[in-house]
Amino acid sequence: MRCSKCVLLYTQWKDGELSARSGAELREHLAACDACRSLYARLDRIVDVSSSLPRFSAPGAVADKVIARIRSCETVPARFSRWLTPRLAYGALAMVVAAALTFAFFYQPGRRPGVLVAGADTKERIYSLGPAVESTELVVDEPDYSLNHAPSSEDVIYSLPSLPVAARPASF
Amino acid sequence: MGNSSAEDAVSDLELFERTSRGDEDAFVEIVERYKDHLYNFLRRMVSDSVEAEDLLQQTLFKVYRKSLDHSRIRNFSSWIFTVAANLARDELRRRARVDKKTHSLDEQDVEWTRDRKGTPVEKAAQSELRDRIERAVSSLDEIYRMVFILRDIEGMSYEEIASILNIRIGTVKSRLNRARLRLQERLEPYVKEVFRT
Repeated sequence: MRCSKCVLLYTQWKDGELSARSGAELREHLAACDACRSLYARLDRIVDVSSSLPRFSAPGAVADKVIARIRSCETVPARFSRWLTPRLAYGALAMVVAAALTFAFFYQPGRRPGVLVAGADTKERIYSLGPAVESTELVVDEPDYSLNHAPSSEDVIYSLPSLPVAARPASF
Repeated sequence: MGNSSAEDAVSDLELFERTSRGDEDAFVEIVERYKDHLYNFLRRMVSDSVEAEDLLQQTLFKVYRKSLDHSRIRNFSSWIFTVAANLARDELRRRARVDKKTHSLDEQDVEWTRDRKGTPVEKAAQSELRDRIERAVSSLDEIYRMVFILRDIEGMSYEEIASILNIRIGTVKSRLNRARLRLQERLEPYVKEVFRT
């Protein structure tokens, strides 16, 4: 047996797992090789001392610390949800009530919201936008069609671009 | 390990199952059974008492959280060490990224479990060798250190170690042999000196 193989067999030899033949070869080699015999003796000593190394004891109250950690993780979401759930429910209810009140305040039966209604005296009103608005305030500047040129974007100036409906002038 | 004591009438898995139903006393019993074994292993893996305590708490915390899946665990003892080993591995890798320096072992809260026999010179030599072995173990590569601690310090079987590390028994044995040889290389001058005395 060569020394390189002998080195690899230490653990098997220590555990008594070598076959009869391998065991006999190893013993023969160890009897003849001082270096391997010394190596095995050092390994034996290291293994023996390692098994008797001092043991470290866990710090006290580790169970209490872990349980406190578990409780803190469990109670935070529970506490949060207990706080959050009724507030979310009340908030949602308040929003629904506010929406219903808003609708009831502006709703007028028979008139669709946002429809322009022309009166006999060309007075016009827009509903659903609050108080009555005089039509003259809504008339847009019309392009000058007397000029002989094609209308461009510059010809139309919307005075109230945010309004959904524009009033036509009576003369158009 | 946890099941080995004659007083442990209730099995680990039974305690674990009771933990899943919110039985705090069952969990405390698990902690009492494993805390010292786990701490000893973690302490030698990370070579730092504060870090080891934190990892121990993390291990037990994970065990508690996983108790809902208790039906999937067959070998509780191996599984709890797998959790600890994974945390230790993560910590060592994180530490390796942050700082390559090897931490030296703290000397505090060491509990000697065996009587030290022999003459004062032999005791001193034995004590010195232990210190050197501790340092040499902490300087081993992670894969060799883990196997060496579990086998030669914790005294686990090859089957348990293979289950904990999810490797084959043959791999455990070859890693253990390499770990021992590397320790021997690092301790060679000192061990020779001890033999001469």
